[in-house]
Amino acid sequence: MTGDSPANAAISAIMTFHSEKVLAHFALLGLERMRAVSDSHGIVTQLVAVLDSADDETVRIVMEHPAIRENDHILHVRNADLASSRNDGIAQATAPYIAILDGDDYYCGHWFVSALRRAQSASEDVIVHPELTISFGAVHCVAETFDMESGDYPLAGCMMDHPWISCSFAKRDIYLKHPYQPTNLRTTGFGYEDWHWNVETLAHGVRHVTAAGTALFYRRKTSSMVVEMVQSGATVRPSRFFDEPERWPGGFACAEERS
Amino acid sequence: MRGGAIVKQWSKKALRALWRSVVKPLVRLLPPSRSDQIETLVHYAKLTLVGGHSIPFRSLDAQAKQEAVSMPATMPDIAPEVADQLIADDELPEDPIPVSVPLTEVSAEEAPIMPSWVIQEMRELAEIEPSLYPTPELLWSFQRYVTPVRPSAGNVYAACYPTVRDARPDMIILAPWLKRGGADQGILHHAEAAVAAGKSVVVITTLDAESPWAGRLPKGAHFLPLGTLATGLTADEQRAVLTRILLQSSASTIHLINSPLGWEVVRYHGKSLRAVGKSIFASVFCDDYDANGVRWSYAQLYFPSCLPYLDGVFCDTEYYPRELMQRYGARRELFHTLYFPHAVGASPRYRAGPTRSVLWAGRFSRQKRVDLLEAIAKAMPDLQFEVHGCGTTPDEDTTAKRLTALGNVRVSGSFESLDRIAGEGRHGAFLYTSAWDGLPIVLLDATAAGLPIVASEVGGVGEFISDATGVPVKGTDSVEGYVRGLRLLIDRPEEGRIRWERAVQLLEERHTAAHFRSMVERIPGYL
Repeated sequence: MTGDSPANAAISAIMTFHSEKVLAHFALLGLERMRAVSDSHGIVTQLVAVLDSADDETVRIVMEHPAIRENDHILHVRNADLASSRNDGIAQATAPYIAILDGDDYYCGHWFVSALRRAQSASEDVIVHPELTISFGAVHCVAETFDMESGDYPLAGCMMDHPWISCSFAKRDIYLKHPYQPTNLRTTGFGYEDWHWNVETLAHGVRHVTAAGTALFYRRKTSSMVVEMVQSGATVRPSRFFDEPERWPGGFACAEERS
Repeated sequence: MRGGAIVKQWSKKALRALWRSVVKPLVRLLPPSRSDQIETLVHYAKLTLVGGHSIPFRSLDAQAKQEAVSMPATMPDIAPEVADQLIADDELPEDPIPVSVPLTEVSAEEAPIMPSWVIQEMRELAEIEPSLYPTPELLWSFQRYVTPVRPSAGNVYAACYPTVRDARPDMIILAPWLKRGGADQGILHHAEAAVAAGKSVVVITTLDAESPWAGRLPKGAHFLPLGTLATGLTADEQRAVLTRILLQSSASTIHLINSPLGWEVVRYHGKSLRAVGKSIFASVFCDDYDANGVRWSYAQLYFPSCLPYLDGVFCDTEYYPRELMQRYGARRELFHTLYFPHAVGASPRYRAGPTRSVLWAGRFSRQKRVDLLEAIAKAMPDLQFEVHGCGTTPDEDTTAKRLTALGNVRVSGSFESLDRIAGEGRHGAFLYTSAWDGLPIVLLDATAAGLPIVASEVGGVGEFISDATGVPVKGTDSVEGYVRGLRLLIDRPEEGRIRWERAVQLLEERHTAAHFRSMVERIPGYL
C-alpha cells in the first residue's frame, strides 16, 4: 500500500484522517464509489491517505480498508495541523491533478471525472470546487459555491466571509506553488486554512470555478475544528490577497504578469 | 383528475410562484437574522398546512406518562468510544415524536431546493449511510444557505490599507484621536522619538472624532483617521479591518495609547499579531473614576485578557506601575517609566512676580475639582484668581458661572499654551487641584513657564512636586492645605523662587525631549 504510484494516474486524491473512526470507513466507501466512476471513464486515480495523529481505530480502519489499492499511499504524520498534513500528502502525490478530500465527507460519484473535465477545459489555471455543498448531520443546508466565471460575489466580501470551500481540484503544480499555510490555531490564533489558500491562490491569478452538477456532502458536527475556530475568534493568516485591495474589483486578472 | 383536486393543485402552484418570485426576494432584503426567522416560520407553516405534518400532543403526553412509569431503573451504558461512532450522534437529536407525513401529498421530487441529481446521489450514498436516504422529511429539512455579502468592511479596508502599506511603517501607533490633551502630547512624543530614530510611523486614530493635532505630527509620520472612515461599520467589522491592517502591515511594533478598538484587537487577536512577529506595547497613565466614584481604566478593562500579549507597558510615573503590579500580578520587567518632556519651547525663565494673583488652568471636569478651586478662592478673598478653562456639560457651565460671580475670580476660557497665559510678573503661583491624575504635563509646562506650584499630591504628582520643588498638598479634599501653600509662595516669593529653581533642575534632568528619546531607545524591542 505504500509502493510505487501508478505511472498513469491522472488524479491523486489527498484524504486526511484524524479520529474519524467508522466515518473514515464510510468516507473510503464513498471514495471507492468515485473511483469506480473514474475507472469506467479510463481515468486512473491514486489515493494518498494522510493519518495525522490518528487514533488506533482510525488507523486500523484506513489500513485495512478494502478501498485501498496496491499503489495508494498511506502516510502517518504527527502534525496536528490539517494544512501541514495536506501538504505532506501533496508532496507524495504523483498525478498531474490533485483532489483535496476530507476523511468524513462524501462527494458525488462523478466528482473526479467532472472536476477533471472542468479543469482541462479551462484555458488558464483554475481551481475547481463542487457546485453545491450539501451539509448534513448537525446542520441541514444547501449552498451554492461562488463561480468566478458566472457569479458576482464582491471580493471585498472576503474580508468577513469565505465564499468557497476546502474541497478543491486543480493541477498539482498549483498546490506545490501555493502550499497550505499551517494554522496551529491554539498557539497562533490563526484558522481557516482553506479561506487563506483560496484567496491566496486567487491573488496569484488562479480563478476559482465550479463543475456543474457536482456536490460535496459535508458532514456537520456539533463540535468540530470549524466550530472551534469560530468560537475562538480565529482569523486568516496574512495573504497577498489583502496586500492588494486595489485589484479586488478586477478579480486579480493578469496577477502573474504583474508579480 | 377531479375539478377540486385540479383547483387545489393550481392554488398550490400559484402560491409557490408568489412566494418564490415576490415574497421571498423581499424577505431576503432583510438582515439575515430576520429573514431566516421569517423563512423558518414559513417553512414550518408549509410543513403543517401543505405537507399535513402534525404532532399528536395529547397521545404523546399520555405516552410520556406511561413511559415514565415503565422506565427501567438503569439504562444500559454506552461506551463513549462507541457513542462517538454512532451516526446519530452527528444528526439532529432524533425526534421521538411520530410525525404524521402523508406521502401522497409530499414527494421527494417536490423538495424545493434539492436538484433531482442530488436526490439520486443521496439514494446511492444511503447504501453506505442509510440516514442519507432522501425521504421527504429529510429533503424538506434542508434550508438554502447563501454566503453573506458584506463588502462594507472590505471596502473600508481597501480605502485605508494602501496608505499604511505604502508608508512601509516600522511602528503603528493606535490612538482614539489627536486633539489637545496630555495623552495626545504623549502620542506626539512617541512619534517624534520614532522618527528621530529613523523609523517610519503611522498613527491610526480609531474613534470617529476630529483630530486637530494631526498637523502636529512630525514630518515623516503618516496619519490615518480610521475611526472616521469606518464609522458605518459594526464593532466586529471595525475590529476585522484594524486587525487585517496590522497583520498585513510591515510594522514590527504596535503601540496602543488609549484606543478602545486597539485594545479590542489585541484582546481578540494579540496571539496572532505576536505569531507574525509583532511586538505590542501599551501606554497607560492613571485610573479614572466615574460619576459613582467607581474606578475605571484601560488597564482594568484589558490587562486581564491582554497582558500575555504585551511586550511592554509605558507609564509616565513610577507610582502607576507599582499599582498595576500589585493589582494584576504583572511582572516588573514589563513596565517602563517614561517621563514626558514639557511642551514649552523656550528655556525655563522665572516669570512669577510679587503679586497676589494665582493662575489655575484646566478642564472644568469633576477630576479637576473646580469646586475646590471655588472654595479656595472664597477662603482667600485677598488673592486674585485667573482661571483658564471651560466646561463641556451643563453642570460644568454652572460651575464656571459660580466662579465668575466671585469677586476675586476671572474666568478666561480655554488656553492654547501655558507659556502664553503665564504672563510676565502677573502671577505669584500656579495652583493645581486635581482629585486624581498621573503626572500632568501642565505641571511641567507651568514650571517651564516660570511659576512655582501648589498641587494636590495625587497619583504621580509627588514625583515632580515635592517640598523641595513646590508645595504638595496631602489632604486633597480640604481647603487648608492649599491655602497654606499659596500663602507660603505669595507671602515669601524668595522661597517660591528657590523651590521653582529646584523644579527646573528636575525638569531639565528628566523632562526634555532628548531625555525622553534616550529612554525610549533603551526599551527592548520598541524601536
